[in-house]
Amino acid sequence: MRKITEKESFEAYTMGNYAIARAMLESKVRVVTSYPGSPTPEIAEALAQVKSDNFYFEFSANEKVALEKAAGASLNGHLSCCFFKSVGLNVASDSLIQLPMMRLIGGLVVILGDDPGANSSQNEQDNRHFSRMSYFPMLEPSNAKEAYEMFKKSCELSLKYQCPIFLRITTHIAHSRQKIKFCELKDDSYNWESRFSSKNGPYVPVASAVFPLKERALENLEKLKKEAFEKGLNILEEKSEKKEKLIISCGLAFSAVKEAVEKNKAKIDLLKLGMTYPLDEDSLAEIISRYKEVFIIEELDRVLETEIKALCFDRKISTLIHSRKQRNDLMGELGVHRVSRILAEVWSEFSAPASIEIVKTSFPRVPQLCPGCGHRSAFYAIKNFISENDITVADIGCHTLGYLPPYKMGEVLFSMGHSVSTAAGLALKNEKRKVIAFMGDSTFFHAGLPGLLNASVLNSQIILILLENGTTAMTGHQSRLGSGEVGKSLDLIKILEACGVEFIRKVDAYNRADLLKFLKESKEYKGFAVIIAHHPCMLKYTREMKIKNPQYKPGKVEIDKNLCNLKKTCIESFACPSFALQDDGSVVVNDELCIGDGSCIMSCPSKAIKPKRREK
Amino acid sequence: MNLNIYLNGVGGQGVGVLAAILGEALIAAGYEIIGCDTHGLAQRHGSVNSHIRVGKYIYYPLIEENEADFVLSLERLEALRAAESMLKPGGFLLFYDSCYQPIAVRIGEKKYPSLKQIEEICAAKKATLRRVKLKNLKDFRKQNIALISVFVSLAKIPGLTDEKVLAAMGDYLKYDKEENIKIYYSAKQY
Repeated sequence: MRKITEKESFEAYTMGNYAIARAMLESKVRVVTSYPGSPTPEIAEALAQVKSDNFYFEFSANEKVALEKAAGASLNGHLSCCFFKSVGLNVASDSLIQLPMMRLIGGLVVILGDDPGANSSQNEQDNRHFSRMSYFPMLEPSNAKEAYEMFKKSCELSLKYQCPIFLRITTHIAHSRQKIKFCELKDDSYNWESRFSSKNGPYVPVASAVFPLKERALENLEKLKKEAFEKGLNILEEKSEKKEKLIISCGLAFSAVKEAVEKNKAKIDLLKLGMTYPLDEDSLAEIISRYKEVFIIEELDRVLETEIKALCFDRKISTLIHSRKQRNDLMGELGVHRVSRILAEVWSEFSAPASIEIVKTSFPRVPQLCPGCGHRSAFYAIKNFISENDITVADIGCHTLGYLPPYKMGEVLFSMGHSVSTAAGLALKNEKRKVIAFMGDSTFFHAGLPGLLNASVLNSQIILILLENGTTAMTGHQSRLGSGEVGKSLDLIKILEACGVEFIRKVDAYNRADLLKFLKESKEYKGFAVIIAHHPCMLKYTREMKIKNPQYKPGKVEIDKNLCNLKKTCIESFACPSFALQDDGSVVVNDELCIGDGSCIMSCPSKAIKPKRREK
Repeated sequence: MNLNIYLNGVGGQGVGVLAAILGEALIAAGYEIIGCDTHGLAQRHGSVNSHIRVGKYIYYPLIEENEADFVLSLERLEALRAAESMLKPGGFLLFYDSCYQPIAVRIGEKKYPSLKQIEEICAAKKATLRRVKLKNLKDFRKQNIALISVFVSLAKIPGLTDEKVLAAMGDYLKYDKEENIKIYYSAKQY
């Protein structure tokens, strides 16, 4: 694809996230902040092409910091944008909930990457609820092209009302590809003058000062809802002659509805809601009352349904309102088949897709830690150290995969950075069972620090294993705060010392002997113990080597058949994906995957794994 | 014409690049398409898939179960999975026969699928099956090139020519251009 920074108008077959990045440039967004999380990181990947003094981007320590930085820039008069994944909103929420009360003179768009179907998240929370709780207007595109267009409309509305706007996308809008025509990028010069003035406020909502601010937020909602149809955000698609049946939908579910209607050749009208908060009640009431029956199709919670039903009750509208019947349909994404089946349960125009009876013999392929991953070496050592009675607490990151076989470590997981404090709770008045928490280095800076301070100051009887790979690996190697890639480099040991941690050990995760020694010491230690098991992310390392030198070929290991006595420790316990089991029960190395890191060598009791000689 | 093309494989094999090249080539051939990739967690040696939907009245980016006219798969277990769940009765399954053992196979819990298992599913669905495996292909990351080459020959999608695919390939595969073209054409003789 051509660069998103190209001046001229062009057409591209591109991903929703890339199209949003282009929309940012067309809208003249000045400041963009984020914390990486699927399904949004490709927005930043595209923005990496922008090299201009009129534009600023950063990955912040966490979503709350990112949002505050974008909001601060907006208070200064700079059009700003912040994006993060669904659960990132929970982290950002303390400040986020205040923002609609504030006059954000520069404008602010917050992009939420929600994840119905929990494709890569710990839940599938429906963030439309947050809109209602904070009076935060929300736009929802139904495909990638609309995401591009609606981002620009979000900026216009945000500037016009000087209030923040949510653009809520979902995983398969962010990652869907379409041909999209981009507009021209106008010539750009920008004055970064600080335009903040408390006269635009007040910005301090304390006690009774809250009410004029809340009043402003509520008033904005009333004005905004009138824009929903005028701005082409809500669209009524009329096809039927008799006006008997209407389907109301929003987001990606609308695209499924539209296709289901075409597929079933149903003559039914469709109402797409692009502005899902606030709802334009007057127009909605007027439209609904024209029909005999209305079906509400939405993904996840009954948000539109609840509000539309209340509206019809208030306005004494006698239209019959249908909605999803089964509890199961409150979960996961609604595709074309599912929507057809839901509609077919009530309306005869639709038929449920036939299922095919077939005996399936395939089995899941669960994700794995990459060859050479330091986390594997750490888990392998720790697995041999802990007893069955011990409790292990996981956190979020690549190392979460440790809960899968064969390591099966990390038995509890709530959220980013929870592990230290949850572990401290598990260790409370618990003398008998050792509690071990895991945490990655990006997560440590994201939300792990307060828990760590708590554990340190109150001397919780736990072992924290800080798995340091120097990057935010799971989401695509975004720079980790303090890694030195962007800004200052921070020394983890010094931070831990300053936090009052007295037991600190640092070891290369490949160094099994020392890691075991430190684990033993930490188990005997009375109090809070931290072991940093570090090793650079090897996926990142090998990729960087290939970029530097396209001819780069990583080394390999091989198994000496004469020495191997088929204990299978390498393949079953160490479990690097580079090992493959042959039909005759022997183990070989898959050269396509092996990177020759040699972290597996120590796992062989027969010393049969050796570095392979380089082919000439 | 409405057409669903489902592509899958293992994280790291280049399913996304394959889908991007095919998508660009289809657009160059004048088709309207919507595509969708999997990103995120699935990339760590997990199952990865991409969807390409061709046609005028297509709105939803994902292919529904049993609705793929074509399945292009880069690995045997993934080919079996796609044959079972995604392949349309009467459809076409084309797969590169590479093998990446998932953990369940490596620790001896499951047996890696045989070709026969795929054949049986295709027979039950009255689908056409073609297996690709080049003898002299050293770089596994170029299996996707061999696969798309065979696909262009067999699928006979009007307008989807070698030239259009090679042009799209040029945009996505920066290194080894000559080598890629060589593999593309050598796969034709397959």
